[in-house]
Amino acid sequence: MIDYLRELERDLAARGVRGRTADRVLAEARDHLLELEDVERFGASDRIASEIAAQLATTRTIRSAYGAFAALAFTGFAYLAFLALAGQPDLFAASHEAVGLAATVGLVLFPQVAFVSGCLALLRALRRRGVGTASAEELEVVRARTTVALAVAALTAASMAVWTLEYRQSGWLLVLPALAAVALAAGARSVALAGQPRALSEGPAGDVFDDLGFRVDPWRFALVFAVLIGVLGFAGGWVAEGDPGSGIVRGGFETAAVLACFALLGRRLALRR
Amino acid sequence: MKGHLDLLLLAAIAREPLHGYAVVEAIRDASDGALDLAEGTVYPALYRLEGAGLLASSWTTVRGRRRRVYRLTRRGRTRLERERKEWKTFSGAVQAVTA
Repeated sequence: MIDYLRELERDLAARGVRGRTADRVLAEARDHLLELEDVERFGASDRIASEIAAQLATTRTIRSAYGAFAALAFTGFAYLAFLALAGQPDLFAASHEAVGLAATVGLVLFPQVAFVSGCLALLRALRRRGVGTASAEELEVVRARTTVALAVAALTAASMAVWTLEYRQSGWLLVLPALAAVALAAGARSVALAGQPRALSEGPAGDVFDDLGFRVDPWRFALVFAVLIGVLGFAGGWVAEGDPGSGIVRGGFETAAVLACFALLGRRLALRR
Repeated sequence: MKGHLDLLLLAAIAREPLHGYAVVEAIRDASDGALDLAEGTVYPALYRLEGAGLLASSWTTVRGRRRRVYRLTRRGRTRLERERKEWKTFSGAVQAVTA
C-alpha cells in the first residue's frame, strides 16, 4: 500500500496536483486502501492522477474565469467612478504631452479590450459549467482569454494612474486604480493556480463561433463588428463634441482598433483558428 | 457505465452520507455485485460532483479513522431527480424496443 501511495503522490505531482489537494487525495486513497485486500482493485495510479488533474484543472479554470470577471467588474466600476470624478483638462496640456496622450488613448482602448476578452472568457466558462472535464486545449482558451482580460485591465488601471499624474488631477483619484490593481492581482493569482493541474485530455479548443452558436467567416465578422463599433464611436463623438468631425475621428479610431485587436489577439482569444 | 456514473453516485449518497469506499460498496450491494466499479475511479467523479456543487464533503472521524464523507446538496437532489427521470425514459425506451 505504501508503494502505491508513493506512486500516486508522484503521479499527482507530475500532473501539477500538489499541496493540500494532493494531501486530501492521498488521505482518501489511504483510507480506501485499508479496506482492500488487493491494491490493484483501486486502479492504475497514473490514470487516477490524470483524471483528478483534469477535473481540478476544469473546476479551477472555470472558477478563475468567474473570479477574474468579478475583478474586471470591480475595475469597471473604478473606471466609471474615475471618469465621473476626473476633470476635463486640455489633452495637449499634460506634463509630458506624448505620455498624456498615450494615457488618454489607453483610457479609451484598454477597457474595451478587457471587457470583450472578459466576456469571451465568461461565455466559455458558462458553456463548460457542469459538463464534466474539458480538454486541455479548451481550458487553455479560457485561461488565455482571462489572462488577456486581466492584463489589459491592469493597463487600464495604469492608464488611470498615469493620466491622473500627467494632467495634475487630485491625488485621491489614484485610490481608484490602486483598488482596481488589488482586485486584478487577486484574479491573476486564481488564474495562475488554475494552470497548475495539467489536463492531458485531448479535444478541440473551439472558437468564438462555437461560443456564439453560429458560424461565419471570422474576418467578415470582425469587419461587421468593427464597423458597428465605429458607428457607435461616430455617434458618441458627434453627440459629445457637437461636431461630426470628432465623430469621424472617434469612429475611425474605434474601427481601426477593433480590426487591429482582431489581427493581434484573434488566435490567442480563439476568435479565429 | 461511465455515462451513468453520476446518477449512480448521487443515488447512493442520497440514501445517507458516505465515504468513498462506502459509496463503491453501496453500489455493489444494491446491484447484487453487478455494478462493480474500479474503486479509485470514483474519486475523480466525486470531486467533479463536489466542484459542480452537487455534493458537499467534510472530514469525520469514524471509529478512530479520519474519513472524508460526502453528502448530497439541494442542487444535487434536484439533479438526481432529473437524472432519474431521464434514466426512466431511456430505459423504458430500450425496454420497449428490445422486448
